[in-house]
Amino acid sequence: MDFEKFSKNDLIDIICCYKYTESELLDYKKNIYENFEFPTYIFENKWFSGDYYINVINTQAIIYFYSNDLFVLYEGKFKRLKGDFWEIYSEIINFLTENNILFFNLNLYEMGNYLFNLYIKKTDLLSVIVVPGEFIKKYNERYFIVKGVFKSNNIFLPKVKSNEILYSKYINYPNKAVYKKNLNKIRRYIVNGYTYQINYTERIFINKYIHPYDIFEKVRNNQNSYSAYFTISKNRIVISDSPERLFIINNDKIKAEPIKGTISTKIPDYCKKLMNSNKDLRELSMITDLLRNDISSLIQKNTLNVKYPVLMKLREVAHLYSEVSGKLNEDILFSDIIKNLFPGGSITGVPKKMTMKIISHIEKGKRKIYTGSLGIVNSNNNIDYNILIRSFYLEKNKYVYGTGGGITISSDIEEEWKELINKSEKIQNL
Amino acid sequence: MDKARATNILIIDNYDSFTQTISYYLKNLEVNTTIIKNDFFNDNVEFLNSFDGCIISPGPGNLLNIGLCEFYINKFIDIKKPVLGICLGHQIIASLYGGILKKADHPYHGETRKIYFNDDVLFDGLKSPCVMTCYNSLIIDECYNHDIQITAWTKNPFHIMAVKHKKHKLYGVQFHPESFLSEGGEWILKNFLKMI
Repeated sequence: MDFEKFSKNDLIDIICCYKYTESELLDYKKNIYENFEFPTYIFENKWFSGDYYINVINTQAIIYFYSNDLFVLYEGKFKRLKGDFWEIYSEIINFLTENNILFFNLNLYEMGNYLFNLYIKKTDLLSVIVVPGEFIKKYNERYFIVKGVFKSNNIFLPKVKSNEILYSKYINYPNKAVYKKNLNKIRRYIVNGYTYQINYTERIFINKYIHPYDIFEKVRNNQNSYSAYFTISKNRIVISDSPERLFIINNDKIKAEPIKGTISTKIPDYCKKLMNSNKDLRELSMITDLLRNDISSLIQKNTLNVKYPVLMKLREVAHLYSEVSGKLNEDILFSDIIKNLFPGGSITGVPKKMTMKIISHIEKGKRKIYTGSLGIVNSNNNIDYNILIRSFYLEKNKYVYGTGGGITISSDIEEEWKELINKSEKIQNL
Repeated sequence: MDKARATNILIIDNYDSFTQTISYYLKNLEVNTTIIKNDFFNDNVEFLNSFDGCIISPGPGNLLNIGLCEFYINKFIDIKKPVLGICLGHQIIASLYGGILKKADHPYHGETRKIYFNDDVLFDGLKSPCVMTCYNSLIIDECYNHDIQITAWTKNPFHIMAVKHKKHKLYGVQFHPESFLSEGGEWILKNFLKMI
């Protein structure tokens, strides 16, 4: 089935085989998917620590960045501009921040490869900027909504053959044998000193007929999450349920909060165990050193501050994280901040460039939005970016969920595999 | 040292993720820094003479990944200015004088270790043993050149943690003074500035 043709007829096709079994549910679904006007952008919960709300009315423009091309969607039409990505991107974000124009920015992991002069394809999407037109400040609603440009009703949902069971899930877990083999390769890189810690990740593919907004509804009720529903285009939607912050800027103060160290909340005494785990503390200390490095060229003398370790309790797992902060230099450009801090150190490893090179050799498939960053930028001194982990990505009729963990010399393959599965527990509840 | 102008230090970056922290520590000490990548070539006499000293950064890999570090070390020996090697930089300095590297018993990535030292100017202000963070999987095994002197070490197992050259102003430390878990790491940089 070609996805171009996947329209009402196919939907009815799918619905027909269920009419007799779970008709109520289906009617509900049909009604929702066909008539409800879905929002295109929602941000809530942890953004700006949960105390900052704006309601946006319409979008002015959406900009898609590739390495030598950019496309602007403006007044319903695409315009194309050729030129070097970083030159144009930095000019645009600096202009927007200096003029206090609010915008949303999604940076994909491949943008990191571009920044570190590693190999990327011309067709790799690097970044997306959404500039909302008008907006009103509202303090009684905990989210941003932007309407316009896309109708979510026209989204390409996952393909399900009509003879397949509509409500079953098709989850494609990574292959454990391949995982083991790759972890042994990584061990060799570590022993020879090419990397001290590497964030090795896998993708889980989910094929289920479900609207991304339904997934968002299931995960949005989490105060500790950067909850977001972000439409890139008709067939690409990001559902963020990430607990991790890349950095936040509040006036002249910048703070990064890298996470490292995970334990399942099912283990008795898990808080104590995690706070006393030498392996996890060491992983976190390496990433803390990395973030100190990344932040130090942006901040004023004698203002570098570290809080280590801090405990973060979530539903399925608990984490350790650290707070690395400082006072920004006065003449710093917003593009300098992005260039120094992206991609987040906790999802690459140490040292950054060599480790990213190893990642591109070993990981099968691109990371795309996974481990990229989504941010809200409201003027030069009010910025909050997350790191897109534990998040769903609908692309080309399939949901992708990335999961992984930091690998060091003390990593045990079975334990790391367990952690990888623990971090993907939420896909069972879809 | 010319007191009228601020101290300038050249930092050679081996594509590492701790180089900017070293530069930041030096800025805290009112020192100007210039960072160049290890494969950036410049033999301009005026350029080199504008610096009072040089720091060779840590870095991933081994002695095959050091670009032009040896070239710059020799240049600074020629102009009689001090060089401090950190981690990979330390191993480069030792290997220039017949040092042989081997794999340590296990990688010491992000591990804090007790460092013992004799009275050397580089460790002024610190008490032996001091706690410093290590990020190495390789270690200097032996050094067959009598001009290289071991100034710090660990016990159980014994590992060489700092070296200096008896004639030239060359210093190397295996540990990372810029790590936040290193206690009093800034003293190493302060003391290095005294060598200028």
